[in-house]
Amino acid sequence: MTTTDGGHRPAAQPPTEPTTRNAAASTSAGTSKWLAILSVRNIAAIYVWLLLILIFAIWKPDLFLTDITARRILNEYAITGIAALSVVLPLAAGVFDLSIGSTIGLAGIVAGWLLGNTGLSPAVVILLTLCAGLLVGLLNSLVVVKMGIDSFIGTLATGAIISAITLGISGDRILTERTSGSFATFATADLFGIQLPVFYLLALMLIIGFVLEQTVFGRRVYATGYNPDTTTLVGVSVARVRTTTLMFSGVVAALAGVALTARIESADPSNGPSYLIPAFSAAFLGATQFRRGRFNPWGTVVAVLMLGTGSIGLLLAGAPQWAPQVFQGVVLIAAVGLTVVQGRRQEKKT
Amino acid sequence: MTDRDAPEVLIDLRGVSKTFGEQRALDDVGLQIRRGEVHALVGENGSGKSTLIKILAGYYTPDPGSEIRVGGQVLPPGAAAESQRLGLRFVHQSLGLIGEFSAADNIGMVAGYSTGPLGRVRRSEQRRRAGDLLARIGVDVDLDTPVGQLRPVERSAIAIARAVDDRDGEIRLLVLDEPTAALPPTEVEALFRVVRDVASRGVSVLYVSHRLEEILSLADVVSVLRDGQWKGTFPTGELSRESIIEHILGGALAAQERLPGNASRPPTGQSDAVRPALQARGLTARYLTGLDLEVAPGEIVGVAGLDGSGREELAGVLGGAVAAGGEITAADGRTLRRLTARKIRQHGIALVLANWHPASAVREFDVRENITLASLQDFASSGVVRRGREQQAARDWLAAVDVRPPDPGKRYSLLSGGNQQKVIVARWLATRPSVMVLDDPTSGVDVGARAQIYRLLRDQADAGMGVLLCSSDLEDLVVACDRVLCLAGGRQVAEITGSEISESALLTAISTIPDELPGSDGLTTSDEPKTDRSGAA
Repeated sequence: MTTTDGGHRPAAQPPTEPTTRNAAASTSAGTSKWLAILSVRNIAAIYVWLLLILIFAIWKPDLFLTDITARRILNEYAITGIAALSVVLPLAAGVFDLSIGSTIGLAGIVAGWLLGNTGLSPAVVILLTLCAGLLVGLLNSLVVVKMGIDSFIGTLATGAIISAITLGISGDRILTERTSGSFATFATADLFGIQLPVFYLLALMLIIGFVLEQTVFGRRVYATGYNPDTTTLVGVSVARVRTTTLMFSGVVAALAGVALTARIESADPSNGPSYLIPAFSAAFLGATQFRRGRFNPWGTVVAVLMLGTGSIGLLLAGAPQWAPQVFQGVVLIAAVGLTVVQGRRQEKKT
Repeated sequence: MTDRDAPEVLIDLRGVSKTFGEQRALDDVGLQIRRGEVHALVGENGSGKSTLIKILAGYYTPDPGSEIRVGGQVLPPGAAAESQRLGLRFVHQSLGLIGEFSAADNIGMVAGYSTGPLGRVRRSEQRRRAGDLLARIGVDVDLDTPVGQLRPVERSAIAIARAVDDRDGEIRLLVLDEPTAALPPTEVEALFRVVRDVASRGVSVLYVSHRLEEILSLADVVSVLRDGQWKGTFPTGELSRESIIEHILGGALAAQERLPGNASRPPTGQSDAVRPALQARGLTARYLTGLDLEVAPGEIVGVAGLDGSGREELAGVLGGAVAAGGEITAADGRTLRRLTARKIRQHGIALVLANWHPASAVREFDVRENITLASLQDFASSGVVRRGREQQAARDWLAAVDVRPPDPGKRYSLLSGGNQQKVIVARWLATRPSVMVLDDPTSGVDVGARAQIYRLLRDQADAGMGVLLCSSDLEDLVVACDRVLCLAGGRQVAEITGSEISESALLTAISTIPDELPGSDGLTTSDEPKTDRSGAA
C-alpha cells in the first residue's frame, strides 16, 4: 500500500471534487464490460436456451419451428414463470417459501368456491383470492419470522396445512361452476395469440426488478439474505423485511393459482404442488444469470423460457410424458451446482 | 523448581522458523521443555505463540531447516498424526466440546468409544473410562449432564481429561492455550490443581497465558517470545511481574510514537459543560459485571483488557450485537434501557467491528453497497435509490478514507483486510455518528492502513465525534488514545491518561488478578446475565 500522500487529510464530510480519472477510464472499460455481460458465466442460460432451440429445430424442424410452438411455450409456461417469480423475493431475503405450490392450489379452490357459492363478480372473486394469498403469507411469516422456525421446515409444514384446507374446501372435487365465461378471460384473453398471463409475468418481472435494484427496500432484502447479522446491526428490521417478502410470495402464488384456474376453466384441488420444483429450478438457475449469484427476476424468466423450450421440445420430439420432469430436476441440480461452484471460486479469490 | 538441569529434555526446538508470505511469524526459535515441568509461554499478541503451538500440533509446516525433537525422535513437519503418536496433546482456548453431549460422550468422541458387536457403544464401559480419566486428574464431574450446563472449570477439566487419555500411547506434553480465559477468578485455583497433578505424573505442560500472576504461581520456567524470536527461558523464581513485562516488551518500550496532539492536550472529558457523547452504566453481560464509562465529544478513549476481562464484548454490547443488561445515554440525552441495535443506531452510536468478524460487512456486496448500507436513506427519494448520488458518495468516501484505487464497483471480499476495515469505518462515518465504538479495528490490518485509520479517527474526534476504541493490541491504544480504561474481571481496574499511557503500564494494569476486587467474590450462576451472543433478532 502506498501511503505517501501526506497532504491528504480526510475530512468529516467527504470531499466533493469530481473524479475525472474514472470518466476517462470508462470508454476503454466499455468493451470489456460488454464482454463480461455476454460471457458464458454471466448468461449461460441464454446460450443453453439457444442451443436447445437449435437442437429441436434440427431434430423436428416442421413441428418445432412454428409460431404455434412459440406461443404454446409462452402461454403454458407463463404460470410457471409467475410461480417462479413469487419465490425470488423471499429467496433474496434468505427465506425459502416451499408453500407456494399449496398456495397455488388453495387459490384455485378459493376462487372456484367463491364462484360456485356466491354471486360475486369475477373481479371481486380474484381480489378476494389474492387476499387469501396474503393471509397465507401472514401465516408463513408467523411461523418463520415470529416463531423463528427454519423457513425450509416451517413452510413445508404450512404447505401441508394449506393443502389440507384446500382439500377440505373442495370436498376433493373439481369445481367448475362459473369458472368458464368471463372469469376465464382473466387468463385466456389474448393479444396476437399471446395470453394475458404472459403479460402478468412481464409486469411482475419489471416490478420485482425495480424493487430489488432501485429501491432502499430491495437493497435491504439482499443484505438480509446475505448477512442478517450485519443488516440488524445497521438498524434494519430483518423480521420486517422477511415478513414483507413472504406476504409478497403468498399474493403472487395466489395470482398464479387464479390464472391457472381461469386458463383451464376449472379448479382442481390437486393442482399446484407440481409447480414447486420448476419454480425453484428457475429461481436458482436465474440467480446464476446476469447478477453474480443474486436472485433476480430477469434470470428467472430466462430460466423459465429455457425450461419451457426444453420440456415442450421433448414432448414434440416424442419423448414420454415423464421426460420434462426429469429435465427440470436435472436443471435444478445443475443450477444449484453452478451457484455452489461459483461461490467456491469467489471464496478462493479472497 | 530451580534445579533446571536435573530432568531430561523432552522437547527440543532448534532453528524453528515460519514465514507467511512476507511476514516472519517465527524467527529461528530454539527452546527446550523438560520432562514434568510446567513451562509457561508468554508474549504479546502476534509474538508467535500460537504459530509455535500450531507447528507442534502439526497444523502448520515450519520453514525448511527447522528441527523439532520429541524425546530424541524427530517430529516430522506438518503431520498431526505424528504429533499425536509422539505423545503431544493440545487443549485449545475454545476447548472443542459439544455442549449438548455429556462428559462421557465428549470424551468418547475423541478417545474412541468402546464398542461391542455391531458397533454398539458399551455405555457402562464408556462411563467408567470417562470417570477414570476425570478421577485421574482429581476432578469429580457428573458424567451424564450435558457439558453446556456444567461450570466453566468443569468443562476445562473434561477437555484436559480427554487430552490426557493415554490408551493409545504415553502422553508426554500437554499444551494448554489460554486455559483460564473463560474462567471466573474463583475457579482458576481449581484448574491449577489439575495442571499440577498432570505435571506430577511426569507429563510436561506448555502453558500459554497472558495472565502473569497465574504464571508466577504455577509455572516452573517461563519462555518469552517477542516479534517471533525467542528471548530466553527463565526460572520463575528469578522473575517478578515487572521483569516479565520487561522481557515481553523488550528494552525500547518507552519510545512509543504517539499521534500528534493527544498527549499534549488536556483531556476534554473533564469539562462538565459538554454533554458526553456516550455514557453507560451498569453494563452486564457474559464477562462484564457492571461497567460504567463515559466518552466526551472529541475524545478517543481506549479499552484494554485480556480475553475474559469483558473487553472483547464491550463494543458488541454498546452496538447492540451482544445481549446485555445496563443502560446507555446517547449524545442526544436519551437513555436507552433495552439495548437493541436499532435503538442504539438511531441515537448516533456506530459500531465498527473487526474486518474478520462475520457481521462486520456483507461480503457478497460490492464496496459501494457496503459503504451506503447504513445511510442508504440519504441517497433515496421516496424509497428509490438515486444511483448517481450513491455512486458519487461512495467514491468520495473511498477517497476520504484513502482506499486505492477508489473503485466503488469492486467486490468487497476482494479488498485487503486494511481496505475492508476502512470501508467499514466509512460506512459508519457516513451516518454522522456522535460516537463511534470500534472493536479490534487493526487485526489483520497492515501497518500503513493502521496509521491511516487512527489518523482518520483523530480527525473525526477533532471534528467533535467521541471514539471508544476496544483493542487487544496495546500498541494501538498507546498510539491512538487520550485515556485508556483497563478492564479485568468484567470491571474497570485502572484508568491511565495522556502521557502515562505506555504498553508496560497497560500490561501491568490489565494482568491484575481481579480476585482482590470488591464484589467479584461469590460468582453465583443465578445473577449471571444472558450469555448468548445473539447477533440477529
